Amino acid sequence: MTKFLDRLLSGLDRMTEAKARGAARRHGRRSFLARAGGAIVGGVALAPILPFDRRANAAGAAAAGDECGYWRHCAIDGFLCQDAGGTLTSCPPGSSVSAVSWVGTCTNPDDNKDYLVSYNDCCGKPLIPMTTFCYNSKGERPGYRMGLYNDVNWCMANEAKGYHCTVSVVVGLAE
Amino acid sequence: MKLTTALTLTLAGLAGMAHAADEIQPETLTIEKTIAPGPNVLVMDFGMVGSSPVYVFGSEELKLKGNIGTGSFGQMVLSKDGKTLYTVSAYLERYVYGDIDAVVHEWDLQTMTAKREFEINDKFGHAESQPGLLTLADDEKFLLVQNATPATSVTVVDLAKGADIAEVPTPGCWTAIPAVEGRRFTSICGDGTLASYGFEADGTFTKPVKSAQIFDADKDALFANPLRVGSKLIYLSFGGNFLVVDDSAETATLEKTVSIEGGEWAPGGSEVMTYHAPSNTIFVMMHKGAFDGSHKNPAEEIWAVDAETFKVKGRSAANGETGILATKGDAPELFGVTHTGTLVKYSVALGDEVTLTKSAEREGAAIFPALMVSDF
Repeated sequence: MTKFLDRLLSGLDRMTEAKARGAARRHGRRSFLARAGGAIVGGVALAPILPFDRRANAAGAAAAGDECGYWRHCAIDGFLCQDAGGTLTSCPPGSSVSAVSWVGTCTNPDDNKDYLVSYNDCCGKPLIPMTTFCYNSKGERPGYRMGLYNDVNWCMANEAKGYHCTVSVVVGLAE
Repeated sequence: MKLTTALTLTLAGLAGMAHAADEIQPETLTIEKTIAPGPNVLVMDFGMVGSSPVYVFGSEELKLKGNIGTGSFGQMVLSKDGKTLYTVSAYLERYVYGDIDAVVHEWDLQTMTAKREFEINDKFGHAESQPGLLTLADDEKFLLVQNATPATSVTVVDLAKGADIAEVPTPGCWTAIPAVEGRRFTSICGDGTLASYGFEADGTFTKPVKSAQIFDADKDALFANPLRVGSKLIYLSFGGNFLVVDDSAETATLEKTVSIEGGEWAPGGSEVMTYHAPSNTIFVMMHKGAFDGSHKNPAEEIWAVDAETFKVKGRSAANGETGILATKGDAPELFGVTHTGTLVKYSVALGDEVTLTKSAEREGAAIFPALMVSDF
């Protein structure tokens, strides 16, 4: 039991540290809120596999050990699926993809272009507190701009409403 | 040691224990009937899987008096007399999947037991606990529940009936802030307006009455949850502008906009501000070096602002809080919860200058502290 608690608390420590790190991060990017104003319905169906995905994946995080600083996580609030059996763009096996999602506008430092990123939650399994938790809020808005809101369970429209983890899927150019 | 010798020693030991038991009065197992006396601070721990427990701390030493267990994605609101806690939360049939029961609980704070529970429609929003998502209206006869499917609406719950009586569509709007009197509430909308809605005890409701545009959600968004200051509502923008709104008439009107004049400092956090009525003081969590996305940053300082003149009356060091709460009495205390789950208590020195001094703290008060209320 003690071992379990140690692991849990260690995971939660990482979670809160990551939250603090994310909150302390500086972005200074342009905003394209007007173009990203609506929730994406059926986010995965709309998500193309874009060429820069591979480049982005190869590029890895912004800095070693700083997964949350990776450019496409600029408005993420969640546990990373890539640490839980999924990838940047896929949910872990046995989970389901959220039918709706929130959207961020993030700048890829490699080409200095702004991309629309759909943050889908993966659903129907317990969250894993030992995985990396990221909390970034560039362009985030409260629930009155629901499609930009990241403090809500985006599994809300699924049959399986339990929150598992979050992916960051590039769905288009913001300009 | 031979087996027979060991057995003999064991039996002798047991005989000794039985003899000892004859000489003492066996203890009686009981249950505490109520929580320990004294004022309390309640912290809701937002639960994404399983319960959103509400921890009850004695305000003096921050000692844990017990907890209340709700379902997942909990919201809470305390009655004015501080005796009854209302919660709404979700119970998933298989914890992480399956049918949902959305349950309203009415908890007796002293005994920490449910006086009543009933189900309502299952649309309530699974959003981080915040004040405007579960409110009491019309002299606490009705409960207003924010829904998100993600389409937004508000469920009206008749507490006398113990049932939901209406679902008021509130597209593009968020929170249900009750009017001071009557069956009406205000919601903040993404188009920069405030929408007012009326409802009746028979479940009918009016069309929304929209205000003029009072803010621009792209240029300087407002935190969704306002303060109730007398007959006015005070909203705060990410950029540090206070918006004073009169919601007493059918159409909400903006009375004035006043900057906190923070320079490179900006407000941030979840429950970003709190109000102390006897001294007419607003406390705001502030951080330095604001940027796009820093509106939820933990507090580096807590500023005291006069709610009439909006002049800053004091700046005090903070401890990384994401939510703050001022108590109601003439001599207030201020409580904060940090992003690492610590509950912090400040003594407040009022006057021409307002200063906060940390007087106690409790680490590990909650894992994901999301909302506080107090009964004093």
